Amino acid sequence: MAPVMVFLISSPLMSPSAFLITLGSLGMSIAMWKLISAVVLGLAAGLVTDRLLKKGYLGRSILRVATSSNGQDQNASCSSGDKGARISQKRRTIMEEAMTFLQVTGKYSIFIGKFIIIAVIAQAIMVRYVPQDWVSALVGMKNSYSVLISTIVGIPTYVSSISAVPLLRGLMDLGMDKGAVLAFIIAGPIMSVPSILAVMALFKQKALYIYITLGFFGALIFGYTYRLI
Amino acid sequence: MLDELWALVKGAGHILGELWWFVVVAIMIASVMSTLKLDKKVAQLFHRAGAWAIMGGLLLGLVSPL
Repeated sequence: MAPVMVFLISSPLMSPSAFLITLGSLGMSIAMWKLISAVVLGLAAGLVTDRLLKKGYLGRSILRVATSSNGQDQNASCSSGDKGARISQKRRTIMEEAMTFLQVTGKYSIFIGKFIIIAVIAQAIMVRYVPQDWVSALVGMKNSYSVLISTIVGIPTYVSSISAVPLLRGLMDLGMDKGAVLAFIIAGPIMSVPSILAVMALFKQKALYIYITLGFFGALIFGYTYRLI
Repeated sequence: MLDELWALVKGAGHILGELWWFVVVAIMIASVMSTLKLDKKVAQLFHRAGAWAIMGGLLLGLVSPL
């Protein structure tokens, strides 16, 4: 389960396309720091999860849903009798696999879809009623609290790296603190409403706490460290 | 009231427009893995890999487009 938590933390933080977008808009320094933060926070998440699992704090698994569909039952029911005598064994297996795939896809679509719909509506309400000027004024402040404020503001206002990077480029041109920029782009993808709801849907509560804690304090630590350098 | 509702629907549509492929890819990966029982195989592989499994998870996380 530790590798799952590593993936959960590092995947939203960094991808080849996210690196290129950050590099092109915010510069090499921030792109490299974001990559370093993805590696460090990912490893930290893995080690913490591994340690807690070994101590029995997280139970046997951090997953809320059971994995693998029960394909054996279908195989048993379909193979009985002689109704499929004319169909070759191979073709029947493909048909059964296709049916299982459709059933599983439907199950996952409903399961994940309901959380995504809630997340998208919540995000739309925030984007609509939280004024962009207000966000700019908050995260653009240059004082000792700007990294903390940027981390907190990044949670509800982050939509995607595609929309966040141009906003931050504009704020950087207006003099936004570089530590606050890094804190925003670390906290945002990890703790945005859709991310939290997706993690909440698939993982147990204790795993969610680890995820949120690492995201929040990771953004703060990297933001303040980057500011000092 | 209706204008506000319409604006919210448009906003939600815009956000979903940026997210939909992420959701579809996630559902497809989960479905394929579950159908072919790859999740159990990957879990066994990670279990056998021991401490290296964490590095594997990290590498997957960094290169995945999700």
